[in-house]
Amino acid sequence: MAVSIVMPQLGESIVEGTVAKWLVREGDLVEKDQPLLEVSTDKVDTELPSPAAGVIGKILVAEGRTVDVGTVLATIEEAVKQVHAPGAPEPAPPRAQSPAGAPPVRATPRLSREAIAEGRMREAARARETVDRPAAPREEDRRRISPLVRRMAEEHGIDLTEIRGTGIEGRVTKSDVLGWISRGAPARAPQIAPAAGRNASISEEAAATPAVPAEEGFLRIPTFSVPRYAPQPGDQVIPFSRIRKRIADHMVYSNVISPRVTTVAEVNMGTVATLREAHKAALRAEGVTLTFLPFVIAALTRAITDYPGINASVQEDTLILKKAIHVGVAVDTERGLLVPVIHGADRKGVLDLARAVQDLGNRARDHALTPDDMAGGTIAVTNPGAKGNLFGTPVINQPHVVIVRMGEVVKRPVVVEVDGEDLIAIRPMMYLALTYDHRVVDGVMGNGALHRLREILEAGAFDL
Amino acid sequence: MAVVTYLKAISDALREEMERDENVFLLGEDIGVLGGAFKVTDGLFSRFGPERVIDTPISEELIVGAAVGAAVMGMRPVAEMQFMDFISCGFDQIVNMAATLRYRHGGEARCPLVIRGPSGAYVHGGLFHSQNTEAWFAHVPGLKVVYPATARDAKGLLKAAIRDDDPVIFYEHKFLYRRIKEDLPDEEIITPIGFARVAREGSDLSMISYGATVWMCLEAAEILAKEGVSVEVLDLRTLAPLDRPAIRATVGRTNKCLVVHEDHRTLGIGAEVAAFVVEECFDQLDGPILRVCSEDTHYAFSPNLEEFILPNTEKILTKARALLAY
Repeated sequence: MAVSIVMPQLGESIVEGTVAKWLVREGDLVEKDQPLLEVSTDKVDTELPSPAAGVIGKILVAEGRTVDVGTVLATIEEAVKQVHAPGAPEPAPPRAQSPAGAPPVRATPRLSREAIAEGRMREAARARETVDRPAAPREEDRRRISPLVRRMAEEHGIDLTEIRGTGIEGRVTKSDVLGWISRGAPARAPQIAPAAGRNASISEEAAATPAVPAEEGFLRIPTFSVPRYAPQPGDQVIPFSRIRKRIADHMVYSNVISPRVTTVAEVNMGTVATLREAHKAALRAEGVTLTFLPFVIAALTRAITDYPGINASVQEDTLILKKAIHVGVAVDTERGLLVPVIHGADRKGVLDLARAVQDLGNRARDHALTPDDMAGGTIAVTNPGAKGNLFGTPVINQPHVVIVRMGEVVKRPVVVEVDGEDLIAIRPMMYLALTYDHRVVDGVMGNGALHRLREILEAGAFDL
Repeated sequence: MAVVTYLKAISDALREEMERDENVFLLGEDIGVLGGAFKVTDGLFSRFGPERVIDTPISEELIVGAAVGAAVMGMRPVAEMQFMDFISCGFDQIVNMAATLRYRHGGEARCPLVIRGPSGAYVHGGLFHSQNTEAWFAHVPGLKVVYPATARDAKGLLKAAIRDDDPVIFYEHKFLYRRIKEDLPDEEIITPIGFARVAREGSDLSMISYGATVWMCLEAAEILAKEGVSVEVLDLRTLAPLDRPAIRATVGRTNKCLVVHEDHRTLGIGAEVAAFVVEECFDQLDGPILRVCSEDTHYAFSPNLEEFILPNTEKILTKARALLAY
């Protein structure tokens, strides 16, 4: 009996989802609750568990495609009982299997990205061979690879089957490899880690299409072998959790994709501090702590009015200027950093922003965020709080183009002008850093936006 | 500057060292009055007298034994083997006495002895006058084995050997004696033991050799250069201890290694070179290590058969081209 796998509704407002990645292939034998695919919404990826045990039938929606909620993605032919009977021989036709007894997630018959890339490279290489090399040497002749050539191929990430060998019986020689490299060989695909959400499918493609990055002059990431870990008494070995893996992939991707520049302003928070003191108590009665953060968010939304280029995203080679202003707020949780979003931040006063910050923070720590909470950010603010130190240079939350980071607010002696006279006064000061993606934001805009942000904060004329 | 032959360079080295240090003396068969079978010691008897240029009976065991005794007592004897084929008669004194003295006495004893003599074939000398015996001694701890290919190295290495505090087996190639002529400077030449020499720089293939075959390698390299191939020739000069860094360096430059020597193939110096390269430079190799050596048989008296057995430029070229094409 066939069971349908359908696109689930992953949030109240969500009407569609993207198949980010299939974790199984047609013909695979799966267990109930075994993850079948990764579904991607704007901000959150979810693994979809199998509703039944059986064999994957037809996969109807390809990776990267976005479909409406309720669309049938694939079918499962329910398995006959004896497949799961202990001691029964493995059925021959289905491929990679999760071993019995292993935890379902760990047992996912997942093809590594490298394996997929490798497979596609082989196909590409074969396709090229049929075009360019009608007299290609037989596969068995190619097996004589010298130690030097093998090492060079590894160092440069070259698939030797793509090189026409000039040695005896078509053997690939050192000079063949050197020639290949000097002609700008399509090196093995750079292993760009996927970013969150949609970008996962973009980098997936990039990784699986080896020729494209090199030919387009795209960056190439050299491989580096981390020294082998030798266990020492007392060491803790902590495999990445799913969220940690996502953060790591996202940060690596962001670091690679965006050439980022950080500019820092020194902001007199005196007026803001006065406002904060005045409204602290009222909010505390609601259980809300009024920090400097909502003021910065409010000021940022106004700065965006003058510098709309900082409220944007980059999709492949396109800049998208966002109309809505949805401000992501970095929240530290025991599981790692999350960036839930305050939607329509420009339409909220400071006190509502404070309430929203408090609410998102509470729910982040209580594991109660929804995909809606995480989706749609257009810019982000990170506030390390009292232990934020002087200033820092954050990594951009992709696909944003700007992130603002608050330093600690500290009383410092500063020169102020009172009645035309310079005096030294004590003021609460903050170093405010704005990091921008120099692919799309140039210095004039980046610096101008931060300068405007500072003006707004120092003027302190806020809608509360 | 003076043009000297390989043989004269050796003779000059002996004379200069005997003049420099009265502890240096020579002993061997017919080296005195006759001046040696190849005239290496010609004129030294009249210059230094019968106490420092000693004619001995035909007994290599006696010659080496006496030299070991003198060396232990502080002299610096230079013993001549009329042909290096006959060094086997002195084998026990070399291997069990000279090579072990320092070790048996906790490093306290010294045996500053040089055993030198003509070696090798290419002169239709037959079975008793053509052998290459260097690998026997390179195998023995405590011995240094030296084999110059040029007049300059013959002189410089012999002087270094005489000044060395340990036993040195010094191979001269009789085919080179009068064929190699070089301009040597008037000032003293000392060539340190243990260092190979890049005889020709190149980038496509390394020929590693020593002795007479160095010249055949250079000839082959010249021919290959006209075909657009750049060959490096490494002259080992010292066979024990081997200059392993130099071998590693040349293989690192060219990634292809051809070992050429006159000695027999099986367990010759080339086998050790090849083993070292595989152990230490495996991922530098862009082809198999090939050898050009004498066939594993005795050197024939017949010129045709001798040529069949020995390496020559043609054989080197054949192997080099195969390796280059690999």
